[in-house]
Amino acid sequence: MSNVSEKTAVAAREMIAFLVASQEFCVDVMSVREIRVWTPATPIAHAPNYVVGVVNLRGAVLPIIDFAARLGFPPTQPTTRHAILVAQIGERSVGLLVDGVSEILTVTQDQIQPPPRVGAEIASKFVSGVVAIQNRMICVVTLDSLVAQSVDSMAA
Amino acid sequence: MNIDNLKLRTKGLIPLVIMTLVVAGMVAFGAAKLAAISDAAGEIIEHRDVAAVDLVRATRAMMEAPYSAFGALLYDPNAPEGKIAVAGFPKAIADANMFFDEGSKLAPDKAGEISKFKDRFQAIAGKAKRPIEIGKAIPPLSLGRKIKPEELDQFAEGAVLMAEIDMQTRTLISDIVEFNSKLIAENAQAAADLRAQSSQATTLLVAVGTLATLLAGAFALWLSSAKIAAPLAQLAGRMVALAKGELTVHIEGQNRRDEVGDMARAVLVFKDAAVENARLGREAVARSAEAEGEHGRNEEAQRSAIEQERAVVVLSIGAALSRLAAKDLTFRMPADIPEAYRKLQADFNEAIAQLQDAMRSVAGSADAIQSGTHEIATASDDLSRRTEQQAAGLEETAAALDEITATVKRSAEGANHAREVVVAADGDVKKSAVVVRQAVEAMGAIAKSSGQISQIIGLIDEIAFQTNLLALNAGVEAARAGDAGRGFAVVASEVRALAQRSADAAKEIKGLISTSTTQVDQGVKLVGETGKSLERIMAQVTEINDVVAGIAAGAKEQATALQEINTAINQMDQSTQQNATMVEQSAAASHSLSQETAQLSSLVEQFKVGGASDGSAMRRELQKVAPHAFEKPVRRPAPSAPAPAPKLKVANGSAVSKSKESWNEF
Repeated sequence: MSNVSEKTAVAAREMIAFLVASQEFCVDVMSVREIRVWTPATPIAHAPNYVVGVVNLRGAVLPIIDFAARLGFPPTQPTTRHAILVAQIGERSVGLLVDGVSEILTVTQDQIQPPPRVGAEIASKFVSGVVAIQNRMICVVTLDSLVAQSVDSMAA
Repeated sequence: MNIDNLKLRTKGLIPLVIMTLVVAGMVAFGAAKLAAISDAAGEIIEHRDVAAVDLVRATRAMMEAPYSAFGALLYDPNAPEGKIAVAGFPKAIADANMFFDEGSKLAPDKAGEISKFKDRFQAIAGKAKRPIEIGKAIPPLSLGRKIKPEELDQFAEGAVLMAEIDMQTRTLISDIVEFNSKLIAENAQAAADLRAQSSQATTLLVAVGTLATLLAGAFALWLSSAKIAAPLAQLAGRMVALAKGELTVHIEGQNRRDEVGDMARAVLVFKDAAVENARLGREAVARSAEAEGEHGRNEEAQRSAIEQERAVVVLSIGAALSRLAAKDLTFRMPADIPEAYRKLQADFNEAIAQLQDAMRSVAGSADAIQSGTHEIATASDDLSRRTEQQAAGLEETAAALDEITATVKRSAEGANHAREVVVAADGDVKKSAVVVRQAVEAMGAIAKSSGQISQIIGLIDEIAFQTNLLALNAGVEAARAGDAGRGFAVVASEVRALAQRSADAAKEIKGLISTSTTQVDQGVKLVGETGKSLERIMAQVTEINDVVAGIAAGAKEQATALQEINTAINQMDQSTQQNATMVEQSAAASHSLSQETAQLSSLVEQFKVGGASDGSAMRRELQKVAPHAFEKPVRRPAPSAPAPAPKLKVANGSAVSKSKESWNEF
């Protein structure tokens, strides 16, 4: 614990890890407002296929994005065991539908490696880096690029 | 009395003729009686007794028929005993018919009743075909084999038919046995009548013969003494007196027309002449003594010659009659007889020759009768022996039936025991069914509890999930709080770990519960199948119970039927033993008949009818007998006549005791 605290003192970032399509991703904990259990969403007409719908979050309309569908995986069939990650992107709050939330990681900057520059640029658009710890590969997701177009287009 | 007027020759012939007539009458009577008795005895032994034996054999064959039918019903048709039973049935019917037909032929007057018996038996035999077909159709009884209900029905039908047949056969057999007893009683009565008749005839023959011989002898004695010898002796006395010169003597019998009369008249002439001579002598006293003596001598010689001649004749006739009275028919009057009596001698010899021939034929007949009665006795002995063998065979049959009865009883007991065991098994199966039902219910309860546990585990899992989320949220808040929230972050992490462990444990329990539920489902299925199997077993056990009950009832009926057959066989055995006794008595009767015939033969043999061998003995006897010619024949029949009677009794007594002994042995 003391070790961890020392490291964080150097350049520690709290990351929250979650599962989507059997892959682990993580985002900065500061961009996450809260974690909720899946509740059925109200679908929105003419929305992109990765936008599941909207839910009422304490009086505010929260759009829900299917993270798997957004990354190009088959759309998720949501159950009560799925979680919604309420993230703060700029001024907006967006709900991300994920398969499950694993843990809160403390990651130092040097543990984050840049994503491989091979192939798809779209992927690199969403992934800012890869954390490799304890035989795990965790992609660090860039929320801004993930939501920007879609939410903009939806808002427009 | 005109006998005095008959010639001496005629007087001599009268006893001979009477004797001949008596003997001829006795012979004719005896021959006729013996022929009648022989015919009647032949009828009894060759026909009536054989008919009775045939009926007994027929009943034996009739017993064989249902017995074979039983065998055919019970045994495997392919097993040796089954084959014997199936083959024995038609043979028994054929035997019974054959014996009935023989019985009808041998006793034509009973043919109607025997034919009725045969018809009744045919009806019974016709019914017995169905059980034999059933016996061929259904599989045989064997241990451990299941009997199908339809087979059991057939078997029961066969058993019912057999019971009916058995009852009818028993009735028929008892009727036949009764009829047979009557027949045998008739035969015994006829044999007894025959024996009485025979004994009566013998007694009559002996009595009449003895009486006739006595009468004829007495008559001959009287005739020769009073009518021949006495007048001659008297005349001789008168002649002697006359010869002595008693000229006053009275000469009797001058009015007789026989030779004695002639002689008396002649003597009277002599007497008159003598009187005349005396008168002349007295008148011519002076005649010379020589002439007078010569005259006297001549007269003396003539008289003595006549007297001598007659004495010889009387002696010869007396001797001949004495030999005749001594039952010697071989004797002939010698030829040295005066010329005047030659005709008398020839007639006597002719008559005695005739008598000899007649006696010889009587002796031949008696011999033939004796050999006939001997054959009858032998046949009776054979019959007796065969009847004893039959009785022994019947006894063996009864013993075999006893064994079969015991076997059937044992199988009935076995069937009863099997039934009890089946009832117990039935009860156990019913209890097992209850247990299985309870097990199924318990399994259901376990499954239900598992479901409930599953739900609770789901709830726990849900709570763990929620807790995890809450802990994550807490962690997020702590992270946002920066250094101030660090401790809180640690607590949130611990809470999250706890929630994770709860979720893992819940998952594990869920897996275990799911396995348990699967196993319980399988157990429920298995227990359900066990219950169904038990129900099927219960149905089969019930069926087995019914079948075994049917078998037990059938075996009991069989045992009863066999017991009744056994009783019938025992009755037959007793009847056959009684038959044997009666046949023994019949044999004894024929033996005594034979002995009586032998006595008749010995009676006839007392008459000497030929045989040169005892000629010298006869001559010696003649010499001995001649002086007392009229004493012995009178005495001899007297002691000899009663002699056979005690002998006869002894013979009868011994025969009876013998038959009793043999009965005891039997």
